[in-house]
Amino acid sequence: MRFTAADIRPMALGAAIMGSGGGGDPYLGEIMLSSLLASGGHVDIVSLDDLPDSAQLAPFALVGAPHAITEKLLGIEGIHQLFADANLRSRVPDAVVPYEFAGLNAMYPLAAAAVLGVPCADADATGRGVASLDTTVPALDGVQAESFILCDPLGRTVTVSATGALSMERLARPIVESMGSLALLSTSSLDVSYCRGHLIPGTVTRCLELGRLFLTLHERELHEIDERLATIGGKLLGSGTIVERISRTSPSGARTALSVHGDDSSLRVELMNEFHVVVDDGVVVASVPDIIVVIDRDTWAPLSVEDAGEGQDVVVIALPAPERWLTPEGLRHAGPRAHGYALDYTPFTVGGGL
Amino acid sequence: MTGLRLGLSITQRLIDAVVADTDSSIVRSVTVERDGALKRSLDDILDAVGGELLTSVSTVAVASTLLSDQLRSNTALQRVGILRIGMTTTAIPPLSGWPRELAESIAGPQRIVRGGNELDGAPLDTLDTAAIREFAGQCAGQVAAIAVTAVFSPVAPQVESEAVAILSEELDQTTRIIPSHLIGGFGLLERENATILNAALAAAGHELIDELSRALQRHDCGAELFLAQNDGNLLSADTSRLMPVRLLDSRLATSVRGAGLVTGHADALVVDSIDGRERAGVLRGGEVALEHGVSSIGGVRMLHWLPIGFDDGGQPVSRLRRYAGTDELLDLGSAPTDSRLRYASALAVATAPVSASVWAIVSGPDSSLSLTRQRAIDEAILAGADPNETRIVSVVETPLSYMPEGRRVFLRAAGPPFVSTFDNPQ
Repeated sequence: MRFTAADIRPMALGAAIMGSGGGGDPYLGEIMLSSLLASGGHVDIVSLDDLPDSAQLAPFALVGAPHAITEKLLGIEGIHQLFADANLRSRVPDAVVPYEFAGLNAMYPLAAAAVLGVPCADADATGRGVASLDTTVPALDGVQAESFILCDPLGRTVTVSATGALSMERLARPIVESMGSLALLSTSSLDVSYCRGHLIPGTVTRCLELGRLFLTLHERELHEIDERLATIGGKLLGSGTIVERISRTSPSGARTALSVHGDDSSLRVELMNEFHVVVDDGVVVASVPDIIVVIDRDTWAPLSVEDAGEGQDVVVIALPAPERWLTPEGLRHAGPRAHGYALDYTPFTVGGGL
Repeated sequence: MTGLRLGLSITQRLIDAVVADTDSSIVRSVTVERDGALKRSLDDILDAVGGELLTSVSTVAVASTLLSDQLRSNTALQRVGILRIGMTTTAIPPLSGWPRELAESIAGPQRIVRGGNELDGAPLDTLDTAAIREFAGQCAGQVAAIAVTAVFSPVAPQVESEAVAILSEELDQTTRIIPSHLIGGFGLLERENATILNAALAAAGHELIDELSRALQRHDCGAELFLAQNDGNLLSADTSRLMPVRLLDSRLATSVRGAGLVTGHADALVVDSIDGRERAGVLRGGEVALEHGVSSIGGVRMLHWLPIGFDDGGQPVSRLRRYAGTDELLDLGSAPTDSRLRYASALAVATAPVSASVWAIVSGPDSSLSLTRQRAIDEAILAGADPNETRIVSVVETPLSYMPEGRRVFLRAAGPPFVSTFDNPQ
């Protein structure tokens, strides 16, 4: 498909939803794409099946802290550098492929493709927002790329070459911190057969459809929202006002709970870098890796984990996780226990009303 | 009688005045219809308050919609040069996301130069002083003000100060040069937006404050002058001159809080009719409920905490009712003309505290928060609060993703307006 300026808004909304409270605010990516596509330009979104078998792809993602991104914003220079890096690639790749199609990390690879004038593949390595570089399908399959490259906003690069099993998260995170908590990430070029085997296909177009659907849900009655969500396997878990936000420290980082008081229900939403668990009157009603979304009911903006605060009027929604994350091995990497919760994955139940 | 406080609430059509005593009881309330220029209307309302009371008041505080009206009609906005420091930002140029007409009426020369800091205050890049001098040359004679915004200036303001010094050397004294750390808040684009708008409003802000000061002088009123901010809290006239963007429209916030003062309600939906336009806000726990996070003024994205309903384009009352959490509705517009509800805004501004807000990033032990608390208190005192009675009134901490132990902190300090007891005209 041709991705044009008219698709930016729904894509950004879909991207924020896929972030499940993380992934970074898509807003800066929206602005960058808007200026790149202002004079009628477009990005070709190509399915993996339509790419020639000889094609090579370069993944793109931003790694770092949202706090650093909101100050340092985004540049263009690093995109060219990473795409054509002579140490990393024997030839210039044919397309960009998103690494984590969620939040700002969904919009940035599209902007990179626009800057470079190459297509963006309709796939990614995670299918939702994730908190760790290790939470990817290639990592799950034990087939990480040969090398990773990190490029800071001033063009300084660090290449990490992998041998066997290793945690990219442990290696890369301190490097990113030294780079000032913001870096552009790519890997050695991926060939099409690898991508077909180990990436999640269709993420980009699915995200756009998700955004388009959610645009139609604003101002709807709650039961209508639930009915429409059911058509894509999602569910409205409840609505109300955030009356309390409590944070506490834990060995695995700060943990926060939101209390959402509504007319018919009282939800608690547990979060760290994403929304992880929803509890309704003591009963777990949804959990990671399903995509939990907290949306401001007035602006219809999905809230980030940092922005969800007391006094906001919200709806809480669950959407199904990509299937790869629901296998026993997938849940071991991405389920509640992987995030430090002493509970098993609890699927939410679609339908049945509120 | 001492300790009386005069509050004025000014819109395009009316000026309300309330003189309140130390218990926030109304001593006198009057309204005049505006007839022509602000100068004449101010004379009318001060005459109506009466000379005897005017010599007894120790503070005069003013809420108004005037700067916001000027912003909406694109009048009195000046051309602004835009200097941004930090080459990491080039894909998101200044004025991104602004309404085109407003951007075009404000935008002077703009340039992004090398420099800025990391989030821990370490240098990000060498400051390109030559480029700043060159930029000054482009601005000479072209702009009335310059907005200077550097990456992470809230944690390291020196870079902006250095740039301001260079620009001041190169340009004549009348060019107002405003660094973004003065405006504050994290998020470079949002802070830059606020700084640009602030620069564009600088002359209009000075004019408004001069007009108010001169009116008080003409009426032999020696009271300290304060202006109400968008959130309804006060700033001294001197500090206000630096921050017109915070004075855009204080009417909604003061109406909401005043409705609570008059009726004794802690929670309610408050509807006010301002120059024929209906606006609604939320009273919660006796205070005006504020929108957290990103907000927008005149279509420009900022991070100031504004009253819910501030820039809504007419939010349905049913929605705001959910925020209020009550069915109680206080309608100021339809209150009888002799009702105290009519004077809600003027009463609230007469009795409002002076306050200042501070954003900070802290990590690790609590000691850094005590420094931040002190900074908030210092800023409130600088804004005109009484040093003996200024306290921290609000602390909001948010853990930062991917920054172990890092928290974003929002602190608000407030105290009653400081009144010098030495040179009181009495």
